[in-house]
Amino acid sequence: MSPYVPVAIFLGVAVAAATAFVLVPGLVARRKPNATKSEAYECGVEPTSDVGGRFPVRFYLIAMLFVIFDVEAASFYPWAVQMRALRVYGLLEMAAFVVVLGIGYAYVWRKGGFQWR
Amino acid sequence: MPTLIAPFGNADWLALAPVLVVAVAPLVVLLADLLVPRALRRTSALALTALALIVAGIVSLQGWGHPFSAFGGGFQAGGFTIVFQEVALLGALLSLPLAGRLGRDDQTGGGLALLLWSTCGALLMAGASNLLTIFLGLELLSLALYCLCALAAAPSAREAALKYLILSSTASGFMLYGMALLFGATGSAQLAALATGSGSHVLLALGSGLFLVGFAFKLSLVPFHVWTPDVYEGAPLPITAFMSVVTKAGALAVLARFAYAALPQADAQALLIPIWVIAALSMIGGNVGALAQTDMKRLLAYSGIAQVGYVVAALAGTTPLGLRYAMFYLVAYAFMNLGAFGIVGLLSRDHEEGSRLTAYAGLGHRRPFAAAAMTFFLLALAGLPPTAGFTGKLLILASSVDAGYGWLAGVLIAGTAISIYVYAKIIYAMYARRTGTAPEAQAARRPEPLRWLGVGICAVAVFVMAFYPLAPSDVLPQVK
Amino acid sequence: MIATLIVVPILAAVLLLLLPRRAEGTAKWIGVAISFLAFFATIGLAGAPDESVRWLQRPFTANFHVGLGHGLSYWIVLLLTLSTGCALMATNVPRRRDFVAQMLFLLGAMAGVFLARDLVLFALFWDLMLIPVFFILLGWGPERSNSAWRYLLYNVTGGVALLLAVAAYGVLEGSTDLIGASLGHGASVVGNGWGLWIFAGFAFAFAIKTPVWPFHTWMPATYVDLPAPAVAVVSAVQSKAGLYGFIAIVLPLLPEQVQAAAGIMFVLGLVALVYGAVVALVQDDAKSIVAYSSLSHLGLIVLGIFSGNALALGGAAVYVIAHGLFSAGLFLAIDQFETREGSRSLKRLGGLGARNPKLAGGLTIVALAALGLPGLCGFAGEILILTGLYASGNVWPAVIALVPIVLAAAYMLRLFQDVMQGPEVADVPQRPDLTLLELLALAPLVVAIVLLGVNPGPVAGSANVQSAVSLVQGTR
Repeated sequence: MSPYVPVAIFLGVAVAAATAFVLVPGLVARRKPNATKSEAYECGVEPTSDVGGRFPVRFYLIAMLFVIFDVEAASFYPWAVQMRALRVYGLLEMAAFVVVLGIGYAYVWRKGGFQWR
Repeated sequence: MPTLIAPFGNADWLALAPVLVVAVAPLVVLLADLLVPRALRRTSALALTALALIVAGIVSLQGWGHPFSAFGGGFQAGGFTIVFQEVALLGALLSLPLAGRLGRDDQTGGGLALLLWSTCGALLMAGASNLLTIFLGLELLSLALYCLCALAAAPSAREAALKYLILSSTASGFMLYGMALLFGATGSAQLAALATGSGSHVLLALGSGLFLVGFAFKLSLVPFHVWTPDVYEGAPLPITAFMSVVTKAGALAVLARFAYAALPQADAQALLIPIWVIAALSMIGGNVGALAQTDMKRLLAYSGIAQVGYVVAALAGTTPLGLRYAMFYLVAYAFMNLGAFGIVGLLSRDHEEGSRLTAYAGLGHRRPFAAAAMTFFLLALAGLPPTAGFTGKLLILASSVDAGYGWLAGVLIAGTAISIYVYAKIIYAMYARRTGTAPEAQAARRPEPLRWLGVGICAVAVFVMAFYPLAPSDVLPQVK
Repeated sequence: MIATLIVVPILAAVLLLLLPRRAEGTAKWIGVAISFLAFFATIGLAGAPDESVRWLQRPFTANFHVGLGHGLSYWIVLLLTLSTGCALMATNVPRRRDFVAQMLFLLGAMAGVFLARDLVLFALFWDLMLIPVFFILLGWGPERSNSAWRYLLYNVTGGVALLLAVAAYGVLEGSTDLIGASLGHGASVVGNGWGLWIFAGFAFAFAIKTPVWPFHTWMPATYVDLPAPAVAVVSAVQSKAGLYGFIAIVLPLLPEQVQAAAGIMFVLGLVALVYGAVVALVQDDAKSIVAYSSLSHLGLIVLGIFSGNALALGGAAVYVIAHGLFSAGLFLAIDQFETREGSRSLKRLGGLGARNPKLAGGLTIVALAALGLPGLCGFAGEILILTGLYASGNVWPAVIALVPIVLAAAYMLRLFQDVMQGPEVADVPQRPDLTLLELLALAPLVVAIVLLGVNPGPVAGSANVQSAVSLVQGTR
């Protein structure tokens, strides 16, 4: 049997499941809408405008910086898990990583990337 | 618990030394940008970048004759790698004189750091002998370039960056898919594993096809070239010059290594036929496309398409001599193309790049030295003597005939004949007389010794290479 | 020291550009001095040993190999240096410093073509000699004329075809050195499928350059648009590069392909011969007449080359030099009345001879040489070629070739009559006769025309021509 049969089976299951999740609720679910259920949030401030509205461009800059540093921070986890096995080599490697990250951080800071101007 | 220690030995450090130099240097550039007084920022950033590139070049040369490998065979140093690394470093170094006005004052440091990282990607590609390393190098090269393309005030720069990002990512997608299939065919990411010829033929053919499509795109070979003129036109001049040499050097290195060392002997020639056809299309299409251009950067984009076609044509039949002549022509192309870009830079004023063809009208009378140098580089691109372009074309023709690809030599001749018109058009504009135009008032020009130095180096190199066609031996790619 | 004939003029051309722009007279005399120095240096170097430096080792051996010998190469270089010197002597084009620099560059590059004993070097100089002519057309030709374009596109297309032929020949043969090839190595290409293609590449380039009908369409416009000193050199010498290529390269290297293609080349040569003569008959522009007459004369030389007859081949060599001499003379003479009267239209001019006896005398001699008067150089070449054609059994081509020779008399005499004789045209101002300098510029050409006409033996290879190789390099 070809080694790709498991892949095909997996694909088939994935497609079937996704289709089912979309179709089945439409067929079986009971619908009783009311005002509270239709709100965007169950709690908090009432939305004042459409979500498709315009954000200040600075928001994207901050968001992007957040994503970058967040993802890089995520790289610490595997190292932390295997810290003992990796020994000094892993420590040095991570130190180099932090230095690179730190220089980037310093650069963004000094260039005013974090200021909401 | 299994130990994961010591993936990195001395050989790895030696193999990667030039890459590491260029990878670490941008950090220094960034720090310097923060610490150095405002007035000196541009100068210090430029000086540090140039220094890093020169050091990397020297370090890379030290590796001649010592084919170390790193990343467990994922990166292979040696003659082949060194040649392509030197071309990439050279391209980066010679585009620096143009970079004096890159972006706003506070962007220069960051821009040059990105330029170095992009070069680092090309250096990695030069030695990559593993699908993962190839992809890593390529993405490092491209990602930095997306930002660099946007580093100009004009809206067209942003358009160029966006176009480049989207189309280039599409190409990366093709390539990744191809890589996945190649991996499926052999069960290994090493190029060496492909060469053994085990594994499914269908997957191998499909995978190498998609892989080559991706690289044809990166090399902007016809019919995957449509993005090139727009991106070249919109990007800032130094970045265009950089792209025209460095990305091509990196991508050609991968293509050549793939063609020479990665494919199983039995299938290689058949699997590579599409690439020779694409090279033939590029030689014609690039030159025909250049005919109608009125912007120097667009024109050089199209001409670059054709020039890379010549280089790829030299590889046809994958003979050892062909590889050496492809390298020779690539080096020659780097010098003549960067020389031409250098002149474009010399003609640019503060707010306007000297890239409209109208800026060249009567140049022979206004600035005789710039016009003479431009003429020389254009003759070189056209393949006329006494330039490296002439010798390079002769060698490519010889190797095509030698490898049994006479038809490719014929196409090259046809493409060259068309290209004469393209290049002569600019020479014509520079020297043709116009009645009634008084010599326009000479605007006071700042002396630009750095740019002239770059142009001078290129001119001397193009002339000398015509008569000393040094094609290094011992440059066949290795895979382990 | 043969290489100095190439290097010195090119270096001088570059150095001239460092002179101040206004040093026009100085520049001119430097140009004249270098040309004549090269002329006498060529005489001194006759028969000097070849000089060779290794250039390429792979994919084939190529050398920087130059040789003068005392055969056709030697005579053509003499013609080149002499005609350049004469052309520059009386010139008064504007921006003379730049012009002289271009002419010296042209001199060096063309010397390279005729001295090269290696195909790669030959191809290099072949392309190089196109560049100064392109610049002269751009800078000194009439405005809004596309002749510069046509010249460059046609000839570079030929040049790249030549390059491919050279590369293919080198790969198949292992060496592009002509001396090695002439010793019989060239034969190995024959029989290979590439042989015919290589011949086609060479023939295409040479046919465009000569030009041979139907590749001639760039030629009339170029000759008309070039300023006189340049056209004198281009028509006298550069057009001979193609014929020289046929004799020095194609004949020794590809003898079987020559035999196979001789029929086609005969037809092309004959068409050029007749067509050029007929068109020359009806031209109004004096330069056009000479341009089309060149097409006709050079067709005759093509016949001589492909006849396979030693006598005709010797005649072709003589006619190559002869045509160079009288076409340079004709273009210079035309320039001399054009600068006086501001026109070279046969309709507008007339009766100049009465007040310009020296000019009329000069034009008479060169025109008579062109129409083949016995005793002058044109006749010597024609009679040798025709005799050779007849002797080799090509009776009908010889007969057809006679017709344009008669027509040559018609158009040359028409040129002379319309310009020099008849009533003086009222609105054409009569200017003084030739100055001493202008006379000196014509005199060497006239002397050479007579000398070659009286004794064509040395050029034809008096010790009977064994082969094209011995004709080019000279026999001892």
